Amino acid sequence: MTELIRTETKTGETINAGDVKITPFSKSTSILSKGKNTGLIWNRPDSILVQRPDGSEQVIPVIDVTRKTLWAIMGLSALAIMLLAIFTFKKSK
Amino acid sequence: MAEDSKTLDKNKMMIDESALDIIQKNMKEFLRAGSVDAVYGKPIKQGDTVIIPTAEVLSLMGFGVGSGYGRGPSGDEGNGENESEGGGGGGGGGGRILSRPAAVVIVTSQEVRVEPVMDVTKIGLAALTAGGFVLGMFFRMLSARSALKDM
Repeated sequence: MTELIRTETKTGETINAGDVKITPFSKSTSILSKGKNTGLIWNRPDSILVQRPDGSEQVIPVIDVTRKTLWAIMGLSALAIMLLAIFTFKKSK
Repeated sequence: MAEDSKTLDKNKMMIDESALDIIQKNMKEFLRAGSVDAVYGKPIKQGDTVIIPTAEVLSLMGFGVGSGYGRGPSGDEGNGENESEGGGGGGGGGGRILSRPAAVVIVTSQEVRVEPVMDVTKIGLAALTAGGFVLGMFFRMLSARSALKDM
């Protein structure tokens, strides 16, 4: 079964918030089977484009602190296991 | 005989089309999770401040449909009197949409800022699970070391 993995950045409709215009961007990763009867879509906010009345533009990234922390915990755990393995079997020699 | 074959094909096509309708309807709902609207909520106005909630959305889905149409064996004489035919179709599937707040966009008259939303429960549970796993691995390594020493 061939799978189709695709990541794309999508642009949402511009929101008028007072004098400021905000354009949201999201990042979507989809995994669909060739028959397209099974699939997974992971959609998360990416950034926002702020357009001010004076013409200045600013891109503010939307950082997901929870996801970053979870990845950090996983990375630290893997590192801790590797270090423990090295020290445990080093002592035994 | 040719007419029977046509009826058979027509019935099979009807069953297949209804199955396709089900697939298309479900796929539309599923693909909606991939749109920007699913991630950014409707702006909430509170005085001069506008708040736009954002969320991470994970959508999983799987389904299958099947159909069949057939004719029973003909009678001994082969005159087609005892002939029977029938068809049927069925399907099943399941899915889940998981959503979690990621951040909040706050727009005031002075500034635009993004405030992250921290899921302390999720982080706490992940930390406990990871800690337990590391400890478990450590004890396994210790027992493996003592087993190596005994050899």
